[in-house]
Amino acid sequence: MWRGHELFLEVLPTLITFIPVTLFYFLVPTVISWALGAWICRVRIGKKNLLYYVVSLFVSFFRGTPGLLQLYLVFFGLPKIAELFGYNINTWSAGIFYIIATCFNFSSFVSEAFRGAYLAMNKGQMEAGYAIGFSKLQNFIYVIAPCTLKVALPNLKNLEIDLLKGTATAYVIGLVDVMGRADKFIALHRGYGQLWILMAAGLLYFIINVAVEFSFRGFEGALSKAERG
Amino acid sequence: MPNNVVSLRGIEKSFGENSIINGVDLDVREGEVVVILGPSGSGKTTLLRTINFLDPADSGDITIDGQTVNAKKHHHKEVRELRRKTGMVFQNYNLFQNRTALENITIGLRKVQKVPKTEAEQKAYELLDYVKMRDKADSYPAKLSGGQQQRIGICRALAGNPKVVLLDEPTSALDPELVSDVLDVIKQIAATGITMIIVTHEIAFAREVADRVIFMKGGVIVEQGPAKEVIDHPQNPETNKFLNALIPERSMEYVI
Repeated sequence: MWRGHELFLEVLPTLITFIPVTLFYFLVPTVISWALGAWICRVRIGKKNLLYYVVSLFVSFFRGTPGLLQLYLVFFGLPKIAELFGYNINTWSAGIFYIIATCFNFSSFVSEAFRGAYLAMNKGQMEAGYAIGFSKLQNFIYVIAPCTLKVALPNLKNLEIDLLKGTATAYVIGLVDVMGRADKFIALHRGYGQLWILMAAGLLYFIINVAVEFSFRGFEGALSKAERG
Repeated sequence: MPNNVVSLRGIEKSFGENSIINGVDLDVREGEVVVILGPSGSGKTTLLRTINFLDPADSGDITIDGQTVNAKKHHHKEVRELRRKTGMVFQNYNLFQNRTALENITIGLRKVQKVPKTEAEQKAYELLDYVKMRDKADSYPAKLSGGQQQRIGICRALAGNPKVVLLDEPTSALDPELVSDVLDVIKQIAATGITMIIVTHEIAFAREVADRVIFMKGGVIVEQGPAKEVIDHPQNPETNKFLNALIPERSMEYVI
């Protein structure tokens, strides 16, 4: 069972070179989803118009179905839809489909983290902002965003860690990141030393996650300066 | 005869089925200190909040320093311009929690009035000296007592050189021993000739600081006049009833 330990050190350098790929599929959806999530949150705390119900259905669907299933739906379904409009997107790389599916899924969760934080926020500060003559945008930048972000951060940290680990599922549609490369090594050795290869990949994911955890801690510290005085 | 700084005409406001304000007209002269009294639910706080559109009225006109804004038909820029002419002090202070006392005072100057940082800070320090809180300039609101927070709230309201300062029950969230600190500050400011509209339950304070007292009930002005006259010799039975409930010694006279 423990045969193949030499593979651990053998595959590690190659796997390390795929860390940027994993980080790419972690950071790009993060940036897009925070923006999209903020917009969804804005709609969901506003007037109950048609857009509200459409967006709510979107959030419900992407929070209520498995991420892997959504990835398949986007990967196989989107080209079919594009075909109806006369576009051929079958040539797009798998990464684009992964990013689209992940943004749909992740922004739904992020929007709920923002929404919870917004609802918990003391609205008096918003009134004070308007009273001194802030525009809506200024009130958002100087009052609402800092307050909301501070409350949402612990929740966001959990979501980000899940997102990072979720990039490992991308290999099912043929994306080659750390996990995808590890899978290729396993196939190459026909299962020999499989556990050692997986452990090497696991170690890398763990190290990246620790880094994510620490950056969030720094971020939280900076934002809660006000409580420490 | 000084000009009117604030004029309200035909202000009406309801929340759903509940009508809160039923047609209020009010003129406040330059430098006048007006205190609004009234039982809870009489619409006094709501009236104050319609002036700077925190609770926009359903109908009526609001004029501040010559600029008239219709409650129904207006552009949002008009509202912001109007708000810049007012300063508001809140019952719960509502300081920006993520900013220091100094930043709370300067942020409006810097971001709304585009005053340079050093100039804004100089102004803020003057105000902090005025309320005797210069040593707390770099403290965050969470580290300040209620009375200290409210004094910062007053500085923030004054920073933009408002034409009128609106104070919404500025002492009712404070511990009793801190009330007098804040009232003293307000008295000092009133003495400098700034126009103020104050909603409060502090009758003794109202009697001392106000030029005019307005008594509201059921969303209308029931009685108004010089502070001492209205408080000592109310003409309206409703006013009398309200004052009797607030000042025990008054009703005692009947017992004796």
